[in-house]
Amino acid sequence: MLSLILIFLASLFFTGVINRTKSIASGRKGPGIFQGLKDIIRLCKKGSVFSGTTSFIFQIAPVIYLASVIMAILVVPFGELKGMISFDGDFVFFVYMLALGKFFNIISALDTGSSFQGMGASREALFSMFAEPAFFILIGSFSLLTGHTSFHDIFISLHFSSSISYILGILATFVLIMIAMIENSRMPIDDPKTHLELTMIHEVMILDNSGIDLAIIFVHNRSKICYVWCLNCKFFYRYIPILYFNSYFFWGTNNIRSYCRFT
Amino acid sequence: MAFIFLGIKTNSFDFKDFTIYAASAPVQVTIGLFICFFIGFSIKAGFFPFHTWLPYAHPAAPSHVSGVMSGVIIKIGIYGILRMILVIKTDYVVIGYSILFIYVIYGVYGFMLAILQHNLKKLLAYHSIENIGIIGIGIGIGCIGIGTGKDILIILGFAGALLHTLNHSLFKSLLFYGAGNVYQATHTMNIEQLGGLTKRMPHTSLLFLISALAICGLPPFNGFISEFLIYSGMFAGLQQLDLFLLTALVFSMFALVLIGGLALMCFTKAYGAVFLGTPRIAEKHIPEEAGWGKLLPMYSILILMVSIGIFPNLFMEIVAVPVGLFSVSTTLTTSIVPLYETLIHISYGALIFLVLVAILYFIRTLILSKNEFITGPTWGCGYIAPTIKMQYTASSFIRAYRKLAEPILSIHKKKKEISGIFPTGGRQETHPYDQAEELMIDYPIGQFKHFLNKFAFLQNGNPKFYILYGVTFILLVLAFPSILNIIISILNFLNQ
Repeated sequence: MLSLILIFLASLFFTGVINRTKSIASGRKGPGIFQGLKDIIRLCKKGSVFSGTTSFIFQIAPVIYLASVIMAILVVPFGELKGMISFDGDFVFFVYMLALGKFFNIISALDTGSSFQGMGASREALFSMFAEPAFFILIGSFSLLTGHTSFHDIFISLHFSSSISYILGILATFVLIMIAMIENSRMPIDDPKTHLELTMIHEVMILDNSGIDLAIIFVHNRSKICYVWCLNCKFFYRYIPILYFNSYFFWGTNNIRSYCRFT
Repeated sequence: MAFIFLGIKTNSFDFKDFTIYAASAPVQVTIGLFICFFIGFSIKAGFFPFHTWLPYAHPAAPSHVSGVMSGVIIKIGIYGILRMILVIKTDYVVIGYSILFIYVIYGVYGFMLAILQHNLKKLLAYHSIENIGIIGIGIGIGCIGIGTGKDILIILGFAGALLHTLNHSLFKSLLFYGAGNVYQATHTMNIEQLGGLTKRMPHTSLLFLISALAICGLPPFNGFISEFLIYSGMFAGLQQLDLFLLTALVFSMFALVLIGGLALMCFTKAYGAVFLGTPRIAEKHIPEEAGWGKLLPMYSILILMVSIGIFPNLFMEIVAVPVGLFSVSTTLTTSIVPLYETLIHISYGALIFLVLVAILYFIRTLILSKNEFITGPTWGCGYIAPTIKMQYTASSFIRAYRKLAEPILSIHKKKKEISGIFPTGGRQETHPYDQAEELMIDYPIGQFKHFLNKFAFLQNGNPKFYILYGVTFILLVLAFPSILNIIISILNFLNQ
């Protein structure tokens, strides 16, 4: 439960830090670190505009999207402790839970009957078709190495094995960051800033959501970035069980890397 | 043929006698027998490369029959194969690997074709092929387990295969019934002409959505449970130290995940193009929701599906009995206990998810009721003249995928390019066709017909020639024994 709370706390300012670093690197002052949080509060106070083309799918999709990512966070272990849901083969549950969220995101985009959303939905379906096997093979190879099939068991075995697991951790980080760039709509796969149809996957699917729905989707996007980094940290840290410091330590490398990607 | 062979060898048609014979026969004979049985049951079940009848039969049949056909009758072929695995005790490792290999290719190939179809029922028929591929992967793992004597592989492989057989019959029947409702309301099966049916047919839309989620293997429904069992079987197999087995398992795991990703694309396309958005062709008459006579069986299937998804342990009890028949040791009940614990965790996960969705939806409605909301047209980035044609069609949805798969499949494409400074119009049609069908059935039959055409001069419509054929035949039949006698006497004369 603690990991859930800490990931949400980290998600409040994580994207803000990334945007601030990007801005300062391009010579601007940039928005404040907590601008994301202020955006969400502002959206909750606003009303919504629903398109006449949409149906019940459009109403329930953002909620299911957020619920799926919360379930996925519950699976991720926290330091030495298990996640709230932990069993053999739980990463299958993890991946398919995220796929459930993506399914609803895609059909809510198709629900609006617009060409922009259709384009984004088509690309999202294609890219998640490629990203899922990549993640599976990654965790599958660690399962082969350590002989366990649960996130918790795999990471515990990695921490207590020889130093070569750190090298493997670096390789795994490389793959996981590529997957994260696809999932979180980072460059060079997707540009979170522009809203032009040629460069977007995730931003274009939510063009028609407004108000509380948009707030829910923003919360989802930020939590997704955070838990991917949480997974990343799990490959390296053994003695520092507090997730907060883990993600805080890694935001530096994340910003440097995202800066290299953006320019 | 295989049955005749066994009948002659054992002088009876009893399965027990077959087992006794197969235990003592040499390996090549049993493998040959198994291949014959396999091919026979494969044609029934619609396996590659004998699957070509499936996509023609399913759309042609009325929907309720399609549902039963896909759900039940194909499974009889699988039942036959499983029965034969029990009866013919042969070298299971070889059989296991070959089944795994065939079905991995088969599942992915079936899917690659399914995504491209325009006809809703043909899409579902090709998708049946792919699900049978998944069942085959489970059977393959189970067979490898029997061959190598690892109990856990047997349990997980066969339990996954059997449960997926049950699940597939449930959700595929539901999908076909839904497609039937759509057809009866709109009189077209072409996805490109449908759209926006959710508003008119809410029940059918909900049922189709839930069965689409289940067939993609998404939690909390039953498809996830059976795919999870097969994955667990693969991971249990990864613990062995056999390199060939490891390579095979890694490839089949990759294929299974790829199937999951392709399922996402296929069913978002099917559900989105048929039910969501706006109608793509002006409707001639307003489609109406199906009556309660049609909806009631669909809802009962739905209740069963959701209950398997949320309470899998009850159904594992049912599945454990046939799985027990396959195992080599008698410790089945103890080995299956950790599996029950894992499934209980999945139940908890599914229930937590549903509760979470309910809570979040309640919070959302609460916040929404405080603020006002209005209805407006879909945002088109300020374009002032939106039309229905601007909506994404199903073909455009899968265009990126089609470009990737084009070298492997044969797709007929007609395109009229836009040209000139003031273009008048363009046009593109794509028709997917089955490459395997082209190679294996169309081409040989084409050659055969070509050969037979050389004899076309025999059929010239002139009755005098036909009388001539008849008279020649009678003369030959009468004269043949006497000619034979003459030849035999000449030979005897020469021998003396």
